[in-house]
Amino acid sequence: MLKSVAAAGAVACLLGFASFGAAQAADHPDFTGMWKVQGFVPAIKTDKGALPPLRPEAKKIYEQRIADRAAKRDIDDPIDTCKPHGAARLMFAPYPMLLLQANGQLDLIQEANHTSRLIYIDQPPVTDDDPKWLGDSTGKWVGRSLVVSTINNDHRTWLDKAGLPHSDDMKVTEKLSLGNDGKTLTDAITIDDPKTYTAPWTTTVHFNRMPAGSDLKENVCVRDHRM
Amino acid sequence: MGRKHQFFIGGALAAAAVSLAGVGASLAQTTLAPNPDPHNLQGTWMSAPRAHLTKDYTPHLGRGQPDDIPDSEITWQVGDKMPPFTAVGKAKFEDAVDAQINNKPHADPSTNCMPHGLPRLMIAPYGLQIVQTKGLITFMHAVNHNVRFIHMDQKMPAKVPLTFNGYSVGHWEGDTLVVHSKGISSAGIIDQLGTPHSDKLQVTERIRKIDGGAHFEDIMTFDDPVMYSQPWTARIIDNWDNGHRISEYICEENNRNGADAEGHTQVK
Repeated sequence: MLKSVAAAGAVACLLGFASFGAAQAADHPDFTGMWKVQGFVPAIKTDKGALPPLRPEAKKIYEQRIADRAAKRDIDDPIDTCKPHGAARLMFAPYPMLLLQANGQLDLIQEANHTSRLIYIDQPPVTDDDPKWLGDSTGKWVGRSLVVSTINNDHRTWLDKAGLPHSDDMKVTEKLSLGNDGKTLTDAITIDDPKTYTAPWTTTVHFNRMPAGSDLKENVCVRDHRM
Repeated sequence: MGRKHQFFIGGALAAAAVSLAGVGASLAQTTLAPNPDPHNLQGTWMSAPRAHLTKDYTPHLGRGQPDDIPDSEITWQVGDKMPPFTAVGKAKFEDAVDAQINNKPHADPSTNCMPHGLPRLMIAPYGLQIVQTKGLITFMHAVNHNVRFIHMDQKMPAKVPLTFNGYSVGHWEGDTLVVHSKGISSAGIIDQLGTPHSDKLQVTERIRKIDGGAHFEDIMTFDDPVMYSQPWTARIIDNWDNGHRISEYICEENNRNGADAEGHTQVK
């Protein structure tokens, strides 16, 4: 069972990220700071509360993954062997997340295995089609929101713990917006993957800004690693 | 695929852990000139060649040579003599050299995809992106997505837990970023050869742009009374990377090629 050797050694390390939040660009909101997802959703649903519209073959894979986990059979959840979550699932990881908005980028650092995701804002489009664990993300401002498009998403990642599948052709579109005087962050995630789903679908995840001085801990996920 | 890593850490054990999946910088590349502002370190950098060590302990720049100590990429500069080891430090160093020459298991955390840790992270021959936000300078390294934080204009906390990267505080002295780090776990090593450190290590770095921003230098002073009889200093150079983007590098993808008990890579 892979689970038995997938240890997440979380090493406490006070990092003291204080004093964030100053607007850096006149007309754009600043997402910089420490954030934590509201709750943990092991099996994501659409914003309408429904199971995403899986094609029959994809539904078989999904149901098999659920059954295998329930029966404690070997499963191939990539994060059990310390592989990256993938761009979409990373947004649901129930750990603190640092956003750094600077120099034409929004960079995301998830505490979980210090996983980084780079979003290039108003910069040239992707020119290759190599699948990557975290895909290729580009962003553009639409009003007060940052709209992020991610392609080249490696099909080996899952969209959630339950095991929603996707293909390499999945396109993820996110709309990131601040709310509540900058104390909350909303990410409306649209999955467009005709090979796996009969129609695009959207799920929304919410974050709370963490108090000033919040910590990002050094978190190391390595097979067989024990601190 | 696009641009490849320019440097490769050779050798069986290192190869076990190095997965170059998706190394192509995948977005359209534009050439970006160096920024001469000495206080703006933002953008991407690529390590200049590091030194390697011959079997009579003479450092030379560039790729390792067949007669070198294998995988001997080191912190020392060309012209350096042996660091001022204590007896404990010398024994550790000689064990590391013996392991490299005789292909024995080597206590290198990065071969198991653990973080390089400080100070080795600064020496690893890969790309680096620096991001500056209020009160924080973040070093995002390509190698195994390691991230390092420098807390600006803060005092070192009275108590710092041991971690791979330790805790770093920094401030500007003129055009030089001065960084002090402590709380660095002894699980790490100073360089790939295995130049040792204990968890008493404190590192002081003086990071400064040179040549109009075409390079930065990092002059590192290692103060570790367990392994060294006095502080010693190394200097590394990173080159401005013209706006190229750091690539995805997932070490964990290559777990299947782990080393066996003898230290030999198991290639399936």
